[in-house]
Amino acid sequence: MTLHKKPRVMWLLNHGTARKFEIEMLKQIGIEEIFLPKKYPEDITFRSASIDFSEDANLTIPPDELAILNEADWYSSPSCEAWEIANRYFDVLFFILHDKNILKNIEKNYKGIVLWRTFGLDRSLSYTKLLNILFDDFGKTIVRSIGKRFYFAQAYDHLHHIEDNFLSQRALFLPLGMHNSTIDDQWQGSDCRIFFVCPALGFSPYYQDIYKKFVKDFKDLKYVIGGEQSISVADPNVLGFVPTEVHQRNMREMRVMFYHSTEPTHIHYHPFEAIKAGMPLVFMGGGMLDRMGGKNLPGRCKNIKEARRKIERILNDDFSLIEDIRKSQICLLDSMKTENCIDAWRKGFEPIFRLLEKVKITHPVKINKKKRIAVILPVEYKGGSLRGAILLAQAIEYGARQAGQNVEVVFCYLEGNYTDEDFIDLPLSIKRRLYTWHILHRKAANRAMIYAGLEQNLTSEYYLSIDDKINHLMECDLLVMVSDRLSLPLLPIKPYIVMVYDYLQRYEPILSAARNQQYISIAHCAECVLVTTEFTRKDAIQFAGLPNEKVIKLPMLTPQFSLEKTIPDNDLEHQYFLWTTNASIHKNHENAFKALSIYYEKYNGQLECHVTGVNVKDLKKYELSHFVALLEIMKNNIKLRQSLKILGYLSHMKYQLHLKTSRFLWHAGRIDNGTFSVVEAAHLGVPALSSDYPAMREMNKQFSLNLNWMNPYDPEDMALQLKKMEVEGNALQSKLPSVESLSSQSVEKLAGAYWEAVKKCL
Amino acid sequence: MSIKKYGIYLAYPPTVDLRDQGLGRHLVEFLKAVEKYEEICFVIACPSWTKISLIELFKDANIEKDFLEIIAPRKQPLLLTVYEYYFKALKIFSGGNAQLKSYYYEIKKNILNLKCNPEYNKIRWIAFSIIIAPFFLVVRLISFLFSFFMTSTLSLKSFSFITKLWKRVSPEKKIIGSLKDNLTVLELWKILRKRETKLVNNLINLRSDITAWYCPAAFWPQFNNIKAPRLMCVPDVVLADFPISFARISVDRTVDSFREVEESIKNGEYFVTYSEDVKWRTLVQRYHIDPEKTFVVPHGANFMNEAFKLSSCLSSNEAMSNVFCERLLKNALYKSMNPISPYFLSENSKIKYIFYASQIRPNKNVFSLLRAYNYLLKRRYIGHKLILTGSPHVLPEINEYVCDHNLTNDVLFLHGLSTRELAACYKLADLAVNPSLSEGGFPFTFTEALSVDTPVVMARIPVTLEVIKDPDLDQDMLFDPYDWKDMADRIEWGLQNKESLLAKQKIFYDVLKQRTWKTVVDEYIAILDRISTKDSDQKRLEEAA
Repeated sequence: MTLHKKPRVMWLLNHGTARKFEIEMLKQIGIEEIFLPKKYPEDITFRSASIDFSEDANLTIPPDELAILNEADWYSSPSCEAWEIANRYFDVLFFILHDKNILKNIEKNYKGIVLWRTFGLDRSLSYTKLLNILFDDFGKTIVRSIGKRFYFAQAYDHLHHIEDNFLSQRALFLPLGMHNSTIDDQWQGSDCRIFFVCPALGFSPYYQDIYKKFVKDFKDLKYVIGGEQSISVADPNVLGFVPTEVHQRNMREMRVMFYHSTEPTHIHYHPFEAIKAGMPLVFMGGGMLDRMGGKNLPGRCKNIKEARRKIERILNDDFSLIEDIRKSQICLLDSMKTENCIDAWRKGFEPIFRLLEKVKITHPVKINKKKRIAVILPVEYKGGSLRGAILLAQAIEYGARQAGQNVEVVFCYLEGNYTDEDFIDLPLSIKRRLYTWHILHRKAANRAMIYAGLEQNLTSEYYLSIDDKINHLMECDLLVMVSDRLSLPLLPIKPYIVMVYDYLQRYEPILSAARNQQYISIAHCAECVLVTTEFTRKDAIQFAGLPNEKVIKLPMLTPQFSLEKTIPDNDLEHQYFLWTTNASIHKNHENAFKALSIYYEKYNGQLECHVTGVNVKDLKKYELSHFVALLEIMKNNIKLRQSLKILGYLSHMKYQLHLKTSRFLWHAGRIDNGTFSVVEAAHLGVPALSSDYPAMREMNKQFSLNLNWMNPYDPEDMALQLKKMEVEGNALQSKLPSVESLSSQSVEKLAGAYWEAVKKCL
Repeated sequence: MSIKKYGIYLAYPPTVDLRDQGLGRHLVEFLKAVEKYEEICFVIACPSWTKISLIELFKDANIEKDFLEIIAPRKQPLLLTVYEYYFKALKIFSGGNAQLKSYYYEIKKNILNLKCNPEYNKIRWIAFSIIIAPFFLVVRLISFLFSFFMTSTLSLKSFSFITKLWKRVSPEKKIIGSLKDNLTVLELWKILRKRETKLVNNLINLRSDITAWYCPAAFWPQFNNIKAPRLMCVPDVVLADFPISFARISVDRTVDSFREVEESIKNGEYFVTYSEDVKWRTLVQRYHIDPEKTFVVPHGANFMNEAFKLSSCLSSNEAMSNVFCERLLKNALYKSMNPISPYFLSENSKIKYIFYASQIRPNKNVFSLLRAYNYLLKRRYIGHKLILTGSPHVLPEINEYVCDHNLTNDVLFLHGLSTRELAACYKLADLAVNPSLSEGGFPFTFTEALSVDTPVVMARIPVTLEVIKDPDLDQDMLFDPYDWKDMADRIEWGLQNKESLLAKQKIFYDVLKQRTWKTVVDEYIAILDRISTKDSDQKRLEEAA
């Protein structure tokens, strides 16, 4: 076979024995450059894994790029950079499916030829079933979308017989053999015990059953159990880990090896090791060894009774049987010899080499297609939430631009009560798009998934789709949901990221259990979850059960608060403090009112309290239980009634005017993801008194705000701190961060981190 | 001189009139160009029921039918013949004959009046059992007998399925409703078509003199059973690009058709598309088709000026031509699907409008055009009307938008226009617009509009960018179809700069118009020749081996 060039291969496995053989095969068919992974999962199932650096010397790729490949986790989620290098230099990739992410990542990122290396499974499984377990029906779709670049690279030529068409039609036979199958007969058999290899007894029910059956069948005979035991086993016959010399002695001195397996599609390595060492092998018929040596070998047994009889004869020094078995079993190694496997490898690689040329043919018309990312505000948020969403869109766009990426961001919001003024902060380069939620019944959802080539088992009765009256955002490459507050699952037709600001429901009774589960499942279905505080990150993991690697903490973003110089002086300058709140329960109204009552009565508070925020105009009229107490407090305190001015929702301009001329800002909420208002206040030279809770502490640290703290559960402390602010307010201004310090936290400065997070999901 | 024969494969279900199909028009242009070749002959293979429709099509297009050979099973299934008689009778009953028509409306009105009566249900069943039931029973009996005789492949299961379906449909609907769209009938057509295509394929496989076959569509997987080199045209797979929109307006039956398209592509041999975009994004990327087996043959130019061409002695009389077009436009306005003021239909009225000729489908982006138009009308005061040629009832939200935004007088839906009327609409428009998000090839709008000196603005989509490569022209005439505001800006600019835009576009149009249907057919024939030669070379190699 003449190769068009010498391709490079990534052999992304760490199985030591298989590696020795397969690297030899690849070399023999003309592949000289092979990358081997240097990291493998810390998982007890990787009992035969090891790392080999020896092939690195043969790679003619830049060392710094090799270093990136060596750092990557090729069993789950290699970095974008690692994929770029893989695509630049490597034509073929072998992988095993340990973590489902690797298949998704290969499909999404790798452009070369993909070989799923399969060595067979126990009879309860097939690779089709495995995919179904890992991905529901979606595994088939992923494999199909790789198309003709995908091969089911089976180690035994019959493995594909039990697989569905999408795998069996892509079967390619690359036999597994032994690196060195030369007989090295040093067997003595002086130890009259059965050698039975059964690994993973501490955790694998499959091997535990085999072990129990063996013990039951051979209990009155002497035996030892070999095999790697990652978890110790309380049976003196189980050897566990033994040094190489002990293992070699066992192979030399044990009288007989018994091999139990009748699995039709899987075989272990140790029977071949025994044959190579000259140890007689008594094995059960019906398994893979029958395919290799037929049904007439003297070591073969039809049933356990026959196995016992033969083993007893061997243990009782029947050397005639022993020699019969030893001589005849050598044929079982034939199919494992390199010289008998190499032709199959050559033949197997023929279509791969042919395909290599075609894989490289690309679209001749270079159309510079911009990646398009939709930032979606899922609820009709206004105020801080809307500004937060705009900031997120800005950060993604700036970040991409700073990284030299051609990306377009669109900002999607619900049709409703928005005006152009609401989007004044949105750069013109970010286009706005109106949408409405559309509910799809499962039948229609299924149709959509079929048309999109993403057929899978949809379990929910209804799904949400984003109807922009154009193409339901299908032209976008990624959706970024600004909040997990979706009442139904999102149709899984586009990858999405979700920004979770907080898990308030963990601390306040604001959601039903069903709604909570719904929101949590939105996060689980996302490609990744963005949070802006360590506190929420912990909640995402501990409360929502999200995997650690899925949750990405990013710095908090705040707008650039520039006050118009023309703002007139306020008559009431510095005679009041500003309380920003809304009608939500976590805003701690009762304690705040109690604190105000104490402040005016006990501490003779001199400042008025001006209340502002969405839905606060009618604060006193709310009939919610947590407002009833407020009325009572108000009724009993005249000074409070006189000093409390409820301003309601103010336009941003008016709000800034009021804030600028206030003595300080009061943030009395119990818990949330932190509030921008304290940062804005700092920008305007206004100190703030804040409730002490983790997110605010984090915000204080990031922006060096020097906030003043109070305990939101203790009205007395709240009142005392209010008085303190009244007295010390002016002095506190000097502790505020400088303009330079605040500008170091601008969106432009922090955008890079946002782009890095988003880029991974594109 | 030896004549080379190529085949064209059609497998439409019964009752399809090719004259109503885009593919039918494509076929006409194709065969008209083929007529000029002396050494090449085309054979059309089709089901028995398509033969008559084909002959009618050729007659309308003045194509010599002797020049073509049609391969089809000799007789059409008996069931279909009876269905046609039945349908004709029904047509007469429900509208064909004036007298009968008035009886029909009388009956219908009475039924509607009856519906208001509280005793309606009782009356309905009495009436049904006395008057309609005997007729209905006869129909069912006929249906049963044909099912029985027509095909041995009709299993008991499918029969019971059909009877179940019959039961679900209310009696009046069965009689008065659209039989063509009836699920039972569609199921029957499916069975008939399956059987018929087997027969067609048998006939094809007997014809070793035909060196290669061409199928102009991708929804007939049976094409792949032909044992000769095969070239399949894949205009696009639009459902794949607009999955949610089409899922909302389609039914599960559409999924079957979609799967047929996918099956056709997956098992296809050679392919032809109208654009590089469909070749690479759809065939190579989505369906993993070998790019070396996929050819691209872009559209030829479509000329609208032919439709109202005056005789040679009058050809320079522009005024006369315009008057003729005005008359055609008035005719077209009568077809408006929303009420139109009679003042606009009078001789002297002149309307100024923007024009978009297209069906209304999710990929056509009509909603964005409406948003843009609404803004232009009410914020930019352009004053023009917007004329569309699709039916607004296909996508209810289109109609809703027009009504909700008080646009019923300004957005006109002129459905079912003749070619001449269409040409006149193009000719008299101030600007043609095409906001489509996805097309199989460079939209015909460009050459159609420019052929009658109307400038055009279009969506910046991949198939358009394959053709419009001049950055200046791109900037002047293309807009982002996902941004209605950008669309509105471009339309407004186009209206304000009509002459300069037209002048620029005319230069490019003069280049494009060189690509006629003759050029297109040349390319098709070259491909067919290439695949048949490749196939015979392969066979020779195999024989030698």
